[in-house]
Amino acid sequence: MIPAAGTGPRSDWVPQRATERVAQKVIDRTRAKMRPLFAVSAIDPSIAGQLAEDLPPEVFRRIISTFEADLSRLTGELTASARLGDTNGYLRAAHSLAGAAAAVGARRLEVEARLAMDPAQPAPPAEVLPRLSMESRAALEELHQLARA
Amino acid sequence: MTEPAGRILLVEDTPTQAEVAKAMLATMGHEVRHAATGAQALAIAQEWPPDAVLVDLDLPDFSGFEVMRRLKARGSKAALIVLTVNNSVDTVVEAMREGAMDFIAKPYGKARLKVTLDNALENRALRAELTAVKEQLSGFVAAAASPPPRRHGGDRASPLRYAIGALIFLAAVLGLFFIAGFSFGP
Repeated sequence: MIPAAGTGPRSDWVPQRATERVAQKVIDRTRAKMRPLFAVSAIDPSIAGQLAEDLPPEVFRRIISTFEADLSRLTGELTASARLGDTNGYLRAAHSLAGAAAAVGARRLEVEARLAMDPAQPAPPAEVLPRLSMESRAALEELHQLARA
Repeated sequence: MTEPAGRILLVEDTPTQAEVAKAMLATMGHEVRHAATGAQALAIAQEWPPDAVLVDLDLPDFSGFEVMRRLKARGSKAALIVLTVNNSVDTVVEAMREGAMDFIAKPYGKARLKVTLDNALENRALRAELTAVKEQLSGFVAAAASPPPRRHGGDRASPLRYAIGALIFLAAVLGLFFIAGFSFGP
């Protein structure tokens, strides 16, 4: 299960010092929010739908299970890093979460994860983690629906 | 036409991304091994030489560039393809400088993966063929530059043979001239 966000992390800590390689990945929050896709669906049908179409159902279901396990592990790592004030651990977990989300077409979650590691728009984990949890649940729900279809 | 199946080493640390890539590669008929770290990738490549390596740049132990450097240093002939979120010009240029044949920006679909991989495998096969032809050609050149010694003392008769050969050649050329109607007179 995805751990409840907001309970563990220090409320005063903001991951401002990014490593150089992660600092390159900056997302414009304004532009991201303008894209209508995000208001409609948690997943990008051109990626998730294509996977469901190309792969045998059991393989697609296995991918969803792996994604679910990744979400649980990575949100746990994010929470733990935030609690310890471990910037690199926090950014690394956010980077992996963005990658995992992108692979299955969970675009809204990907955007949130990239915002979490964006040094230009630092937000406290207490604000970021609940959004990540919400987007994770929404993406999983839609992926399961797609698998059932 | 049948698809060119190959031995593919996938170096990817995020399980979801690895699972998606493995599933796509399997549907293309490739044999796939997966490494989650650079060290694992090098160990697998040592005992199971791949035709192509799909390598993520952000790995937990060392970078994808380092994996490529070490594979090259070990003499690997695998086609190297970089998987990256950051497809900036700098990253791509560095990847090519490190010996990558191509790169794929994440997230990617099956079609993109297939085209890139097929091209890389074809390119690798052509390079291998070219190397084999070059080696064969150098063999021929070396043999022609140093002919084996004659076994029955024929070396002493060589000048006479060349003279006779030259006379016959000259006669043949003159004969052709006459037949063709040439004349040396005014």
